[in-house]
Amino acid sequence: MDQQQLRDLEAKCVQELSPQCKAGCPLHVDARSLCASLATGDFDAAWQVLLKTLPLPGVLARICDGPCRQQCLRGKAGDPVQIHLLERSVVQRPRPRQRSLAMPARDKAVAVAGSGLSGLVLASDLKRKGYTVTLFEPGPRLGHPLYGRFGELLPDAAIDEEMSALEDAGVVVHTGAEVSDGAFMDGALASFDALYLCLDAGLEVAWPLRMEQGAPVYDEMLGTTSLSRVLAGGDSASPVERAAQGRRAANTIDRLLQGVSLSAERSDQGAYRSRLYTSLAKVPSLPAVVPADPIEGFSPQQAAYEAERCLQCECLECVKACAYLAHYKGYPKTYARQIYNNLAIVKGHRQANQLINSCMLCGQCSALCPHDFPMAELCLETRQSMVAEGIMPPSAFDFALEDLRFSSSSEFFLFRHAPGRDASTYLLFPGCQLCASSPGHVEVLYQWLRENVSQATGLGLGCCGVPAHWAGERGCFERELDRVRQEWERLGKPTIITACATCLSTFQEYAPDVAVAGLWNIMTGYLSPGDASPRGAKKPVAVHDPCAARHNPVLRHSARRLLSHTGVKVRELELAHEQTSCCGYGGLMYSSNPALAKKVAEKRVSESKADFVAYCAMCRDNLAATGKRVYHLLDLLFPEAAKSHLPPGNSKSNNSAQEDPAARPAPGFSQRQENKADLRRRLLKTLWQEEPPPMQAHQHLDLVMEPGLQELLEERRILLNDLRRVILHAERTGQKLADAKTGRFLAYHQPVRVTYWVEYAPEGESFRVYNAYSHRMTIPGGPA
Amino acid sequence: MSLLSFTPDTDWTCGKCGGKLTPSPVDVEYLGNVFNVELLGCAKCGLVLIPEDLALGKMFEVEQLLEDK
Ligand code: SF4
Ligand code: SF4
Ligand code: SF4
Ligand SMILES: [Zn+2]
Repeated sequence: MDQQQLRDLEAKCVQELSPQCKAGCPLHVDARSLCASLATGDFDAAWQVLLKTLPLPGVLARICDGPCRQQCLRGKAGDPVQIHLLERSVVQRPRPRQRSLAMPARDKAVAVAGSGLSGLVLASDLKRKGYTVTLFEPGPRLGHPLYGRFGELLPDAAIDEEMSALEDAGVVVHTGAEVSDGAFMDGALASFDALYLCLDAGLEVAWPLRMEQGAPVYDEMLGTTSLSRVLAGGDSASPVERAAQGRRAANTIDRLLQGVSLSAERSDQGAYRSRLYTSLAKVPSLPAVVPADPIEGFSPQQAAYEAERCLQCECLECVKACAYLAHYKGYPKTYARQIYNNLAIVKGHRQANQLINSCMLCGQCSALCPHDFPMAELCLETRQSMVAEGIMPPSAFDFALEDLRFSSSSEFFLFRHAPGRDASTYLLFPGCQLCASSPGHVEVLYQWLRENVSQATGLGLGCCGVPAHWAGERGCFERELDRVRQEWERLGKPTIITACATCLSTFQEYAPDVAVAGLWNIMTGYLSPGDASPRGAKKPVAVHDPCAARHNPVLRHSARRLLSHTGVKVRELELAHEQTSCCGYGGLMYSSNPALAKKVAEKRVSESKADFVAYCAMCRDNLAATGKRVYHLLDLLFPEAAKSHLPPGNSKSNNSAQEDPAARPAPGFSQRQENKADLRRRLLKTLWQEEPPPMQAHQHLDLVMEPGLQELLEERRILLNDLRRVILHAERTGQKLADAKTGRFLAYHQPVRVTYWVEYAPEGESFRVYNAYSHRMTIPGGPA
Repeated sequence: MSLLSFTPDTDWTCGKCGGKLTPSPVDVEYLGNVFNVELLGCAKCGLVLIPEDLALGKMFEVEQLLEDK
């Protein structure tokens, strides 16, 4: 990623842009902050907001006509926030002490003819910038054009206060000045560096400027006239616009006197429409608060009520939905910069590794973002370059990649024509996760497809390789995908039917030559209403779409159709279909950031009290692991299957699965691997009448342990087979530590990258495990 | 790297030769970085002891640091 790509990315996220009120204010008063302060009754803080941007606040806040209101978003849900009245209520309270931020004096002098609003604002701005400012007012006192002009809204005392402040700041004032003839102009240009003509001071001038209909012609944005050092402005009908004209002319004079471009980067001056997006989806309409007395304005209480109507406009559409984005306390624009900086680091701590490796790559943010911010692409591409540069932290994805290796090993990988056939029209590719989660369903499904769709349906057990893709391991991903492709070719290129939305989208995107169909789409062609009637799900269920189905409306629709065939009532989640949330498996978050993955799943299941139904095995298990009742669509389509084709293993969980599939606990990592391996062995035996290959030596070891320890090992990502390998190694070589008092052994072994330690003791034919832990540092010369 | 020492009192003995575990310097390595630490081990058989709190504490910390370096 280069600087330009970063900037393009950053520009897609509008979160930092101004709210409409601020953009719509000719002076860009930060009304959002003003409202935030007033909502809590903090008038001092509100004053500070005004002092930052509003010149002559004691005057302007009383007479501003509030053009910002036309743009205020609250106006789309009730009446716009009456920002002008709020400002008024602020300046009626005592002004807090102001830190004077006068800039160092500059040796340039500016003359101002007339002390209308624009001239006063210009004088105030230029004085603050350190210029010498001299104001020539034909009337008897400074600010003469203001006195009496706004009636009760602007009492003389309020004007007096601001005028004294100007004089205290050092603006030189000549009242009763004669400014109308050309001689004044010539004189001023001789003694001053620039001259401003205040058009809202009621002056009639006969200066040699280009005129139209008796008024000097000037540039609306810059204030420039036909003479280079003479500027003019202030003839707008809106008081705040007049003030803004003065401010813009002050800016032009500043640039003129510094010799820089007068017009560069000034597009956001003056009122404009902001690109900030703010959702009004859950915003109830609220009417304006009416002040009891229009001159007195709001009471503090009323001001707070009115300020509370402000929506505090911001975007954060993606952050509101994605627990991952919320977790790192920023938003995509800030993350893009952090990721860019992370890549740029040559030596030193890379702080954004975890940020990059935790994204679920699910694309929800892009679906919600008004400008499709591509967080998933950003994180994936960054992972790929980290892998290419050899700086990917091994601990992030190792566990998931080991699981992928298992899936493509002879323990699980199997591609066959149907028993007794030598050709296949279809090929059931359940996906590794359905086999791991619920192998019984795979058997039922395979039988159903052969009986109902085609007897020439082969079977493919394996993994599409997506974990390698998510880990940024391009080479490994290609190899895995290619292995599946080769088997598919060997079987005569049958149409792959997959039960996994991720496999489906992976094939479609990365192996477009492979013919593939979603199981749910196929099934809708063969099942009719009433063909399945689940016993369990009498209550309505909330559908959870897998993130891989985000861009597959047909698949989402098919799943719903099948659900309706079962007679179960379906509830839609708020974030459904293309806006669906990931379960926490996507992008391998479960491997790189398990704690956050848990939070993600918890957030998702809290979105509805109803039981969930998922149509991806991984989603089902991740959500069920929170304790939520979650069905797999197959539980409802094949209610008898849960009973007759149960996964082997823990008999307690099997019983509960028979009674109530939604309560079936999510199998742990060890169980998942065993489910996969057992499924392959069982199918070979029952369908192909083949003796499965003998188990490896360590697999025969029988382990016993307390259930609490088993959970701890899951958390530590230590599999039962890891323990078995360590114990077998220790028992074979005698390389182990011993404790004579307890009769226990402590052994270690590094099968691949991680070194595992197991504390155990023989118990009859079995081994009792007391503890296990691991580390990644290697001990050279230790037992291999 | 300074020599760090992890030699707690322990009841573990070498299961191979039955000998006592004694402190000795060992090189541990991660991502190409080698650290010399003092661990308990059997001088004769070469077995070492990395206790749980070392593996999950200091060692884990250093691993994470090195991964982000
Ligand atoms: S609702 Fe508040 S933040 Fe939004 S435009 Fe209106 S005043 Fe500004
Ligand atoms: S997890 Fe999904 S929604 Fe969240 S940032 Fe990553 S791709 Fe976007
Ligand atoms: S949705 Fe997210 S990425 Fe898109 S503009 Fe809003 S905050 Fe930025
Ligand atoms: Zn020994």
